Amino acid sequence: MAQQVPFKEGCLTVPLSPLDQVRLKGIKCRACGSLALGSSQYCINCTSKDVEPYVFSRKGKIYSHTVIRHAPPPPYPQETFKPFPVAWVELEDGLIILSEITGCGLEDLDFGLPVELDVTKGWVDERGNDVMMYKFRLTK
Amino acid sequence: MANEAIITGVGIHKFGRFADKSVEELGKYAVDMALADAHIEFKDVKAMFLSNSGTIYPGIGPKVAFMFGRTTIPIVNVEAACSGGGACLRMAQMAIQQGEYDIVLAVGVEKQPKGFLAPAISGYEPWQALAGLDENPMYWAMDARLHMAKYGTTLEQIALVSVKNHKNGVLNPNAMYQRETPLEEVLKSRVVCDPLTLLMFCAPNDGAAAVVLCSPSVAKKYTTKPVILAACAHRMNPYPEMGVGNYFAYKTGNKAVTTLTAMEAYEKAGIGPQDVSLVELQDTDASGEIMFSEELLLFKEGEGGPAVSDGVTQIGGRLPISTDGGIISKGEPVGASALGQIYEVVLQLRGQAGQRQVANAKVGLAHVRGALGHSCVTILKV
Repeated sequence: MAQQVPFKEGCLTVPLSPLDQVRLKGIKCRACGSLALGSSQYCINCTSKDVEPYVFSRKGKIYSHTVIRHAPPPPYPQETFKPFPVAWVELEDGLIILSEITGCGLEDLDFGLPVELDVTKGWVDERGNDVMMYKFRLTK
Repeated sequence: MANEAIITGVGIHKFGRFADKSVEELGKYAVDMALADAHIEFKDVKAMFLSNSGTIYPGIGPKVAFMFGRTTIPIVNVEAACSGGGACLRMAQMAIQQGEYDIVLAVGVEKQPKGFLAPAISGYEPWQALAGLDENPMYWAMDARLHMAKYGTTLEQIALVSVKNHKNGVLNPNAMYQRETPLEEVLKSRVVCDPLTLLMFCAPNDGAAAVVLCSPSVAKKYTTKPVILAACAHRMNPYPEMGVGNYFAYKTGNKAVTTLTAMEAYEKAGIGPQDVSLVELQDTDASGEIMFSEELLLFKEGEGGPAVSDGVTQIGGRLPISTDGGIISKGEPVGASALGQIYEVVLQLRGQAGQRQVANAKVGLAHVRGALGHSCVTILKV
């Protein structure tokens, strides 16, 4: 049976099921307050080593947005490509994250619209594992 | 400064697509031209730095040099994404300033396929490529949207950058595209990433450029038209880097790298934005030209758009930008593009730019901004 693995080590909480319990995780710097996705010994902003693990809010809003209208270069699968919306999503905590947006048409996004984390199977890796990827879903 | 670097020679191989020429041949062409312009031969060069985006092979620097026969001078490859040529010029400048070398060559060469850059060049991780979150224009499109919303910059103003740069490109025999694109055509070309359209973007291509730097005493022997390298600064963007290759950010209040680098260059040169006669900048896309013109402190925030629509940045305007057509017209051979800018600025400051000539040009600024957060700002003066 296929194992589930995160898109990048240290960016999703475990276990990876049930999916609606999975959250994005990272670090918060106790020195400057900056948030960053993923694990790191150092604050990406001020280089302090005084950082703590941080689990991010599932909710956010559209900070800016566009549409990927042409197939990204390989290894992205060219034959199954369909245009999709992407956005910088600003989470309630203040982290801003780049994401594909689901649950909407190509023309539906606007600044400030609410979105929610949506972790699903993204692709299968070379070992046959299901790679779990984050997206954000428009919530109204 | 005692060892201020002087530019005595510049050369360029037209930017475009040259399937029948090797990257070494492109480099040799630009170096030959720069050496002739500097009235020296390759054997006079004491050190060489070569910029390439890392796509060719690690030994490209020596291979270009060996086109002139074997040499024992030190040759170092430089890689700094789209800022590579600027970083290369900075190394050459430091070699002169340090005092040990009095004639130094900075070369940029590139050969890249059509279309989107390969993901690894821009620093994307494999998962970003598999998720389809690795298309550089998406970042510029989202930046453009924010600028439009915050300052009222219009899509028409963004398109007018492309109109202007294509118009300037017609006057530049070294540009890949030498065809005017009227406003309607730019706005109606196919959308790449909303709201930006195809004719608002540069295209990766092939090309080479070379610059000869000399110490002041040696420069006197070879040229009557010295161009002074007043400052060359290279920095990385602080957190957050909401550009190419990145996928998360946090509002820290840090200044953008272009501003940090420009401030360093202005201070080193003892020259302010108000003294600049013409500008070459990273017009990877048309909205980028507007935003970078502000980040370079040439215009106040939000005034970059009106500057374009009011004609301030066209040849004949108060502050011409991308007089050679920018990379929107020339194309972007990543490792060579920054030295291509230096080629144009030197021609302008010498009064050799022909139909593109900016009247009374005394100070030129060249700016590049690349993946991973690289930026270089160079100030030249006569």
